[in-house]
Amino acid sequence: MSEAEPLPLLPYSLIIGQDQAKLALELSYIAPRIGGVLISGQRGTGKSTIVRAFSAMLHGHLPVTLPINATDDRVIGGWNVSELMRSKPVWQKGLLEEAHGQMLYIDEVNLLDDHIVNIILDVASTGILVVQREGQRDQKELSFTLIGTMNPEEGLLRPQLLDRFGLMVNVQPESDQARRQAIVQTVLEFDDAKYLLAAGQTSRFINDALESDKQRRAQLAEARQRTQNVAITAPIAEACVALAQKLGTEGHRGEYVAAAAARAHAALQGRAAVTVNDVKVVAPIAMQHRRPGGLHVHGQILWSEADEELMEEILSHV
Amino acid sequence: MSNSLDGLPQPLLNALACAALHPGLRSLLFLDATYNNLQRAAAIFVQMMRLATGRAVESATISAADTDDTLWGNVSLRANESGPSVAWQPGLLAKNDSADGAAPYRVIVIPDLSTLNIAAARACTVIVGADVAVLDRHGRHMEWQPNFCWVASCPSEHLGRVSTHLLDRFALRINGQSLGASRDAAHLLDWIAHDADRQAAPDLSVIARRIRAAAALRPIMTPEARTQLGVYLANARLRFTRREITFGRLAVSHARLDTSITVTAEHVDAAARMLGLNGTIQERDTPRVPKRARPSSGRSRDAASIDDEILNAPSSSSMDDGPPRDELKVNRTSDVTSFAPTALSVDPYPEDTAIVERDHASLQFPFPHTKVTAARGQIVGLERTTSARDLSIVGTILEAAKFQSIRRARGGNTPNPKTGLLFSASDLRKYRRAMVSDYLLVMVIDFTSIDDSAWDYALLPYLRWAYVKRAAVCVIQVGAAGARSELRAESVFERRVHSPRIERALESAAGKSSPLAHGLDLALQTLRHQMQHGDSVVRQAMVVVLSDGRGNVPLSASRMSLVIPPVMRQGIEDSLQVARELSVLRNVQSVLLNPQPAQYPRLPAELAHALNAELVNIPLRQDMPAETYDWDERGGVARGSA
Repeated sequence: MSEAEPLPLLPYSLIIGQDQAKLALELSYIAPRIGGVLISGQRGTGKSTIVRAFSAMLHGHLPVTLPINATDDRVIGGWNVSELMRSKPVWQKGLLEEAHGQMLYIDEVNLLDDHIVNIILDVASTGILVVQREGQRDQKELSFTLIGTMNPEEGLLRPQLLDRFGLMVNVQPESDQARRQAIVQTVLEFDDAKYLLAAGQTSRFINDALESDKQRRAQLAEARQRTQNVAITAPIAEACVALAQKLGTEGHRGEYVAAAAARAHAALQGRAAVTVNDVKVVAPIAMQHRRPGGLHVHGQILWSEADEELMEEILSHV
Repeated sequence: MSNSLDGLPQPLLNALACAALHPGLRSLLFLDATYNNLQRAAAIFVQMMRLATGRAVESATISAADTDDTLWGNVSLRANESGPSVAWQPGLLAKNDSADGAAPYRVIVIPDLSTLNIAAARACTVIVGADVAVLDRHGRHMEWQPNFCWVASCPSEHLGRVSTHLLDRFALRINGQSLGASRDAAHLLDWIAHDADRQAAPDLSVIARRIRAAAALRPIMTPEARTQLGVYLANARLRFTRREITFGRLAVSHARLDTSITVTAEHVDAAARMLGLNGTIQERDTPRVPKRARPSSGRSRDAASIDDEILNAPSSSSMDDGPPRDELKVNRTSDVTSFAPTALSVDPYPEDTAIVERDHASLQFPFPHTKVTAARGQIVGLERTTSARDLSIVGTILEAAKFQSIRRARGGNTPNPKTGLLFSASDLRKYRRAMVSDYLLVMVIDFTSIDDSAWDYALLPYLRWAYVKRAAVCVIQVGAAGARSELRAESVFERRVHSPRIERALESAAGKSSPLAHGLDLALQTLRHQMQHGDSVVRQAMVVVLSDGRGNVPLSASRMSLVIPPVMRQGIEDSLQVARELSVLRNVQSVLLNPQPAQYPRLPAELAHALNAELVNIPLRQDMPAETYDWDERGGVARGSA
């Protein structure tokens, strides 16, 4: 999409605050092995806006989105109805296939139908989409970056689905007064800019923002290139394992994701090796949702002060 | 300019106009509006939208029967010259494919937000106020910028039943009682002269000029306005980002309606007054879920006083209503938001303090815990099936219809290939239904008789039964403090035992009188309805009566809300009579929990006998061993013996 075309959403570079959510999305792009991001937060915290803006910044279009109104045929694939009526069997790819190699975004992921969740779990864990419906039999290898947003007041996710998200971020409403005012001002300016664009005029406000987006995209692409060459030492790896063990995270994905995310973070910072600080930044979002019965407050899984102290203690030995 | 239009106060009209002027404000929640008044507001808003946008505007209503298919869309049969065919039928919330760039706006009316079914609540949560909508159903993919406007109503006492996730999507809350038409002879004569439900289209010519002039304006915010915005953002009621943005947009709309090229501090003040913001108030973190029931206080002001204040508000031809700016102090020490005459409602965000009455995860489809042996419960959609149980004939036919051409082309095996549908097992569709309960627990709690007994512990085995059986629960409060009438019992019905309303109902204090007969009568009516009426019948019920049998309100007094003395023993006799009627119901197991009163100690046994109930003595709280009470032990069992 060219920079002159109007977008319905706020450009990524104009999003104020929510730094941890932005970081998680960027890390998942830099290192797809991380396996996706779950953004959980109260109503009105800009969860959906950040994800869509991120996709628009990276790819120039909205992400492949799985809505809660989706039927099976659109998720897995199905016959094109219009063509069927003309006796032509034209198979239509489902959303999972459309998202291959890209981001698959599920808004309100905790409201998704159970049987759709089961389908996604199967594909995410095996990497294979098996289609056996409506006379069609096929099997495809798929991989996508699963991004989900949810309001925990409406219920939590099944642990199996929670585990498929590499990183989990809790977003909170902005508390800093100046930032809150800046958010309102930015939205009001964007409202005006949209009006100008709709009237066929240009908006310097938007153009400047899109230019900033372009620069960020280049930085992320560069980091993605660099990440394979970022070194991670044995002590750092041991610290990741020790932290995961002490926190009681289930399975091995906690330490794997923490290590991959730390590496991506180092690449983003332009460093050639992972430091303790990189681990400190990513460990909470890589591990907090993997503990059995985590720390739930009003439905939010939280990283506590005790967890922070434990992390400091373990990393102090590196 | 007149104070009102067609009986509607000026501040309300200004609010509707402001909302029409900005896409981000076009979601209005009216509190306590009747359906007719809501329709009236929607009609006016439609006209204002036409003026503001210059485009066609239509309206539609979400009903209690709407499903995912009717809301988002489905394949349906169409009759063509060449025969029937299957085509995509867009739902109420789908993008209108026939429009291209100039699609009509659609004002969606929701008569009662608190009674939306789960399919509609989920749909509204994802689309109200959304910048982007996505639809993927039955082969159809759509991504578009929705052009919907929302006009909804909700009783303020039921706000706690609505998901806050959904409520947050509505920009403005407006007192729906201000929508009522003037109560005067002229309106009465007009009503007599015309059809009962017909309402004359309001004449918007005065405000129309302002809306048209405002539509083209894009005022710039002055530095003073920015500063004033920051002052109000310190108000704890605006602690959610959407509310802050709404406030900013409302200030801009005010400026446009004022035909001003700048957004000034006065416009910011006007927006604050409209929302009812007046300084910083004590912050509340979460909605209250009290441990002890609070007396029902209803609304803090009655409708008449609210109407009077709004109607008597000063009006002018500009939006500079209210005191001069230097007199408007931001009171940082006040812990109460005072009700300003031009505010849209008493409380800008009443959901913050509404008692939580909604289920946890209320927007998730319930997981079927019980094995359903028959098709019951409201239909909320369709899903694939591999059996013929609860088959949706039409849904199955529509699915099969999609494949007729290709199946025939491949040579179907049918006695008459030219007629009749060719089915495959994959075509089968069954109904997806809302959960219903096979079991029901009815608890008649006489709060005047519990005193020092461990009554709450005595209830636990039955609550546990209800939990295990996924039973619906009905609590009938007899003699509870805060009851609307001392002469009447009240009932609370919920589909699950884990309900905040059930918890509140069980935590009442004792009142002054004991309408036990009426309580038992409510239990009888509930059981008859739940076990004998409609499709969603309960198969088995348990009735738990906790009472000393000393009902002192005759049943007739409860029904007429009038005591005709002398009462004497009439209340007790009426209770026994209703108990006998309860005893003949089939598939009902009854238990009487005896608080072992010192006075008239034989009455509970007499009541148990009439109920044909098991008599269970409740121990005194002082006699209970600390933390070691065995829920299965009961202090003596006697079956209905006097």
